[in-house]
Amino acid sequence: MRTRERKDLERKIEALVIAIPREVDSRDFYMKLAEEYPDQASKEMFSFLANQEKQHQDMLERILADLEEKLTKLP
Amino acid sequence: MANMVKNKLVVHTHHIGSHFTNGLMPVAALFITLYFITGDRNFESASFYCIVLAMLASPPVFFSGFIDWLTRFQGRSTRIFNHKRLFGVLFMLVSILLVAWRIMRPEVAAPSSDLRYVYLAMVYVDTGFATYLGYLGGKFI
Repeated sequence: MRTRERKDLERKIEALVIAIPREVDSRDFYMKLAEEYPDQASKEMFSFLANQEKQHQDMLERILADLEEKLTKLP
Repeated sequence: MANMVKNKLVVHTHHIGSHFTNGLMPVAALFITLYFITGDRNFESASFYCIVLAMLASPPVFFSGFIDWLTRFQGRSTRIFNHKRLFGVLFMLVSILLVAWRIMRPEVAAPSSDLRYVYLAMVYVDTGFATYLGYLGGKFI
């Protein structure tokens, strides 16, 4: 039962470890576009999207920290 | 900004190089199979050169992947990364062995060779390693 729980946690952690750099890459992508576009409306839209990705990244990092803590507490 | 460019360069080196090895190894396996079926020595030579190129491409792929893991993935140890490291090393070792063996014994795959099926099996196994590494890499896309 414990092994199953450990494996389950490890799979979730692995998913988040893969997902976080995707959010970082997306944020970089939107930030680059925000810099490239000269008009204010485009800048605001891409900055908004970049900010959304940053929020996702922060959220995923919080969940990852929780899961890693749970894993260390497993007997 | 310079760090971001460096990270992108590392990621792209890894992606380009791994597509290179993933493209070459199945072709090497196909050509060596055709050699066993037809006996046409050109297929054997073509297979050998494919393995040489895959072997040469593998160190940049491995080390760019390793740097990417240390930076973007913060060196976290999970099953995928452990397998990528293990099978990456195995792929390089088997490729080096195949190339060295073929250079030392050019007739290793010839019908007269006692070990020709061992050589053939090693090409298939190495292709399996490359394919598995490609499969693992696909999980990141």
